[in-house]
Amino acid sequence: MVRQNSAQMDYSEAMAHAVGQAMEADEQVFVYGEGINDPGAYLGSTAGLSARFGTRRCFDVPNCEDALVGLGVGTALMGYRPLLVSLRVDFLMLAMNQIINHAARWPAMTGYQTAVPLTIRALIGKSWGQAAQHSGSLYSMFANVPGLEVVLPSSPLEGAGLVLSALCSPLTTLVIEERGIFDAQQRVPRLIEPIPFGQANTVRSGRDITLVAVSSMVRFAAEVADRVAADGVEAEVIDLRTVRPLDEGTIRESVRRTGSVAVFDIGWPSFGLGAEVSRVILESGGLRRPLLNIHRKDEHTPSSVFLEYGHYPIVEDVVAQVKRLLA
Amino acid sequence: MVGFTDDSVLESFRKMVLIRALEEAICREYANRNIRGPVHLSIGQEAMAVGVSTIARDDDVAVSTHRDHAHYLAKGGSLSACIDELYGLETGCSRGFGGSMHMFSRQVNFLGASAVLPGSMPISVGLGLACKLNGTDAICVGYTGDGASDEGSFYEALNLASVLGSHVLFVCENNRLSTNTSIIDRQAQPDLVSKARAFGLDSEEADGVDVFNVAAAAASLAEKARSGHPAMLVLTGDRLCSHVGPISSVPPLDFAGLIDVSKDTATRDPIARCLHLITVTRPWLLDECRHLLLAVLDLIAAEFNRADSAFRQRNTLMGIAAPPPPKSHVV
Repeated sequence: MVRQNSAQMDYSEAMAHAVGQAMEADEQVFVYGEGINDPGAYLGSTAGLSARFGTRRCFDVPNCEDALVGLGVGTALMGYRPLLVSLRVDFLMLAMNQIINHAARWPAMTGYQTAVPLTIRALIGKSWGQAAQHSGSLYSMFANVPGLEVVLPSSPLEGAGLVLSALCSPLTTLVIEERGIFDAQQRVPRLIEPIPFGQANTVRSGRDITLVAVSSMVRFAAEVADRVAADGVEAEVIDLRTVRPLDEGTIRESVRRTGSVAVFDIGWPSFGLGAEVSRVILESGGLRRPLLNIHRKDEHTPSSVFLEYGHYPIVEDVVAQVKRLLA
Repeated sequence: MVGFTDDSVLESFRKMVLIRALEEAICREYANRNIRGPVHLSIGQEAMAVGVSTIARDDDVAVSTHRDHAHYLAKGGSLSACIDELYGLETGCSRGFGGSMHMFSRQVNFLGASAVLPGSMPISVGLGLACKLNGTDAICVGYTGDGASDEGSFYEALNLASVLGSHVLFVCENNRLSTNTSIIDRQAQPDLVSKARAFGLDSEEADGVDVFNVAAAAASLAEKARSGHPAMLVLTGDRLCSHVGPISSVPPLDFAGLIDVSKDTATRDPIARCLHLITVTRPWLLDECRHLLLAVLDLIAAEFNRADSAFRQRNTLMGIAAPPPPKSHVV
């Protein structure tokens, strides 16, 4: 039998494949979360893990987010590499005491004599009428906190590579996954390479404007780049991959060349990615045009498909905004 | 005192005196403004930590709360590193990053302390699960208090420990006060043992003033935890000091004062209680107790002198002026 060296996978399949690879390589890795051994297997992203590694290393748990993160902190302090799967980022608000006061701060409070190698995957339920409490982005709250790492994958391959780095990291890492990245298919190699944190990926080069994007907005920005290319505009698209650590060098280097920047965020504008990228650029200079900040509306998400239309950015509008900026 | 050898009786007495002497020295030194930061003392609660430590093994791990000096020392944490931590020196047990509320020693498996209620509870569940996953019968001793039992996550931790069969022994120090608010005013039903049992844990209450009684109660519950049945020991006793800050409500350590039964301090003060029990059952140890007490006082004085001089040297080196005194010790 010839084993394929790669296979076509969606985000969930790539994630389950990568986590399986990590569990195979390191006995200390285990996975837990509410309902992860359900037939649904968290959109399929934990499928097959309990069958392959046993329920000792892939187990279902009660609904108690704060205690679940504490469980991760405790096992991580003993050398385990727990992966907690949370069905929504919004549910992590119940665990903020453990995430911020404990997971993020324990290494510092012990004089950096401890590590907390905990990984938390959490979903942003964008669209499909999920309303305010199931669609929050909320990643920038975590990105504010020293001691945490915040990862925003943009594709199956990115998610797979980044989760491997998360599972090797000595710090608590939040892998925040927007629903919009789950359906794309990519060829995923049998042996996945970890993607290091703090190294942005320039997915498309250009000299006229820098499009800085995260998560599902990477594909969105690439689409905008395609559309403005028809008018002769060469847009550079940067996938930040991780917002903490943030690859400030790649942003500055690109903006020095293009002099223009648009930020493609998945969250609200206040104290968000646009503000952070502005800081990075203003600390070094090079911006020749006003910064364009693309983001969801500064309000809580409505459920109705009609009301939701316009809550998230629309490609046509953004294409027009970019053209106006460069005119 | 059943099951205690003369040596182990003396060791428990010495550990309690060491904790008390440390904290009395903190009270004296605090006014000099060289120990900077909130201090939560265990005066009156020494028997709880020491009693539990007599049945805990070296390979058991422990985590604690903001009131952690006693737990750290009882687990075997270095006295010098503790005092250095209070002075903010880099030779401190947490290299100066933790201070009074965040003692740590990997060497003796004292893995830290949380100053947010009930933060160490879920972490204890994880530490106890790790012991289980390691395939050992080691346990986590998770210190907590009645104040933490007002919080929701306290009960999440009890349930999760039970569901997962975590090797955890929660030790809930019930001084019936949260800062200064009585448990009666905070909880509609203040029976902590019933609450633990309701989540499937084994739980017993014990007089936390009697170190030997604490040890006996902890021993049977620890055995349960070692076999994957989490437990909670509720220890009742009084905090004989302010919630925070350097105010003790008992007279400074003095052998004659402690054994003076006419003062009736033995009902509330665990060191006086211990000496009373020794007087009644093993009077031949009293002389050794007196020597141990004096030796501990000398040791503490020498250690504070050493740390104080290291602190002054460092202060001069960095040119940091002493901060002005606060308006109140209760901060």
